[in-house]
Order: sequence, then C-alpha cells, then structure tokens
Amino acid sequence: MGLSGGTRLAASDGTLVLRALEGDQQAFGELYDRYAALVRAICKDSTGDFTRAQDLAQEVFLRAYAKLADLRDRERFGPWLVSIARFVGREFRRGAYRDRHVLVGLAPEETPSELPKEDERLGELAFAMARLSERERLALNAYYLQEQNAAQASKTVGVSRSTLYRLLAEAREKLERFIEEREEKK
Amino acid sequence: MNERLEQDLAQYYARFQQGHEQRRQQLLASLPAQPREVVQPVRARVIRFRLPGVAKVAAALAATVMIGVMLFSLFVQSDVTSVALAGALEQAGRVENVHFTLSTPGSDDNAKVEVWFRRPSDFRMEFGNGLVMTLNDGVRYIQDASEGAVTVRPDAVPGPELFVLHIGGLGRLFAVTDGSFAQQWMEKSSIVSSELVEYKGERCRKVVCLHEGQRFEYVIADDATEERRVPFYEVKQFSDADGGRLVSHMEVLSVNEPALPESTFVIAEK
Repeated sequence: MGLSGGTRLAASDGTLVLRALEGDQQAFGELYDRYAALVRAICKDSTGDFTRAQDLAQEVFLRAYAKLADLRDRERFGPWLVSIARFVGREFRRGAYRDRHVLVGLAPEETPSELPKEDERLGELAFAMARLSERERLALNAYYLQEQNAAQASKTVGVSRSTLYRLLAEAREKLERFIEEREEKK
Repeated sequence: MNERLEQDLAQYYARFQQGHEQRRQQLLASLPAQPREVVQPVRARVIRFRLPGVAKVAAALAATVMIGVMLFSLFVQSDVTSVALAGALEQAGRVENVHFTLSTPGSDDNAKVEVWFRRPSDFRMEFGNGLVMTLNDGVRYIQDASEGAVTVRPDAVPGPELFVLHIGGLGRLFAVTDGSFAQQWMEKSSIVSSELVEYKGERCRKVVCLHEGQRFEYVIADDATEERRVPFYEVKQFSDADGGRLVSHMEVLSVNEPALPESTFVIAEK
C-alpha cells in the first residue's frame, strides 16, 4: 500500500462553497463547471436566445458569488443557484435587461450569426420544449445536464425522485406528441 | 423510451457546454477577490436601533451608533472566524496522515494515547498502559507490553480506535471521511469567542465554541486565506458548556508527513 492513502472523492458543493468563501476562486470555478450548463439552459428558457442566455448565465453566477455568504445550507448550492437563475430569467422577461447589450460588463463574444445553426430537428425540439411547463423543462434540464443522475437532478430541482421521474415522463410524452403534430401538419 | 427523442435531447443539451472554458475564464477574471461578507443583517439591526434614536435625542443616537458599530464588528469577526474554523475542519478531513496525542490532563499516564493516522484507515496507537495497536491494510497488530507478545490477525472487530478516531474522540476531526462532516460540525457549533494567541511561536487564533452542550477550544492558524500547514494545533474538549472539566486534549504534532515509514503501521513479530 502506498503512503498516499485512499482515493480522493470530489469535493461536495458545501466544501467548494466554503473554499470560495475563503477566497479560493478556483473552488467557485468548480461550482461553475458543475452548474453552468444547467444555468444556461434555464436562462435559454427565459431569453429564447442562446447568446443572451450565455450572458444571463454569467450574471447569475456573479450574483451567486456576491451573495454566497448568505447561503445558509451550503450543500444546497444547486437549488439555490437554480432559484437565482429563475429570478434573473423573470427579470429578463419583464424587460429589465432586454435592451442591455452587456449584462455583466462582458461583451458577447459571439453574434447570433456566428452561432451554429440549429438543424431542423433541433429547431422542432426547441419549439416543443418551449411549450412544456416550467417544472417539466427544469426537470429535463437538470436531468440531462447533470449526467442523467436522477438523485442529483431531483436535489437540484427540489423534488422527490419519484416526482422527477413523473415530470420527465410527462415531458417526454408531450415532446413526442408536439413533434408528431408538427410533422403531421407539414 | 423513444431513442430518436433521446438522441435529439442529447444533441440539444450538448449546445449548453459550448464555449464553457472561455466563459469560465471570463467569469473568474471578473470576480472580486472575495465574496461579500455578510453585513446585511447587521445593517438591518443597526437601522432598527437607530430610527427611534433619531426621533428622540442626539445622545440616544450616538449611543445607538456605538452599539451598531460594536455589533457590526462582532458580527463580521464572528463570520470570519466561523469561515476560518470551517476551513480548518474541512482541511482536517483531507489530510493524508496526521500524528497527534490525546490525553486527559490531571489523570494518570494511562489516560494518554499517541496516534499516527493514515488515510483512509491505517493507524498506530500507543496507549499509556503499554498497549500498542496498529492497523495496516486490513491487518491488525496488537502488542501488550505486560505480556510482550505480538498478536497478528485480520481486521475483523473494531477496537479502541472507535473511541479515538470515530465515536466521540477528537481524532474524528481528522478521520471521518464523510464530506459533510465539517458542515454538520459547524451547524452544531456556536462561536463564543475568538482571539489572537501565540502558540509555540506561531501566530494563531484561539476559537471557543459550544458544541452539543460542551465547550471546545481550538487553536488554528490565523491565516485563513492560504492552505494551513496544520488545520488544528490543539483542541480541548470540556465536560460542559462552562468548561468545568477538561475531558480530552488533542495536540497535533505533524500533518502530511512525506516520509512516514511503513513500519509505523506494523509491529514486527519477535
């Protein structure tokens, strides 16, 4: 047996939050790695635009960092971040940011024309997803952007695992139906 | 499950990973050095004191402001201390190896054990009564000084290490591997005081806490911004909240010793 001892486990969210509070920005970077894609997806639900969603997601993380010391249960960083993302999304929809080109002092690096174009199938899927309820979309986002880990996704969404599975099943069923209806109309 | 839908969903969600690294670097570069400290609740408290004071007399206002300032410093100091203590706890849970003593001062030498612990579960314990125990890769060695014999057997039954490294013993600050241990420990702790002290020539912070009805005194490195060389220098556990009787005193002798010999965890058979 080597002197180095056992296998290192990934730090928990709570541990990373603590380290970030001590000024370890790389710890916050690890939290960003875990949740950025999910936050972007939630923001995309609000903006309908991929580039703006990316900027809005940066805004969400900046707000989270600024309020990090207020987070009481540090292991619940994920659900807390999701609530900030939803709040910022609602602000965006209310138009508070609609005309601001730069949200967080960071100019967008991409213009919409430079983004990869969604192919038709993905366009249909995005269209169908916009018709799901917010909870169903959140369940899908959390599940597919957290390595299809139901335990983690249910914690992030703040529902039981059985509720998550029900939401996922309902969402998939609706998506299939929406897409079929659209194809039949063509 | 509709495979086509699953493929489309996978493709759809892959887009949200695009540009991640660049965005990450931008975000980290734009962060302030540290998150804002918790000052909002203090402000609210000061305002509640201040408003009636303004309406009445200037003297009351001055007194209120002074109370506010005192509360503010106490609150911020307390928050900084709790972060420092939580950081020490969290670091203790990550050390590769540690060498410490546990004793109950005032009692005889038997109430002392010297411990070398190597993550995840190896240890050597030398008790004050001459009993030496080691656990190395699942094999337990026991030597009783009174008999001189060495017993070697596969680890099957947990021994005294339970009470040193796990249940109740201060060694659990280092040995427990549950990632949420530090957080749970902090949640059950309330900080009573925090002061700068000199400990063996080093500038340290002594933090006094109440934890599940008992007084704990920690000596930790004062610098909370860098990885500490040693998470704790000393921890004292008292029998009650008033600090009536010292029941356990841990002194940390070294941490993450790079050249800890393998023989530490083996007792040679004679």
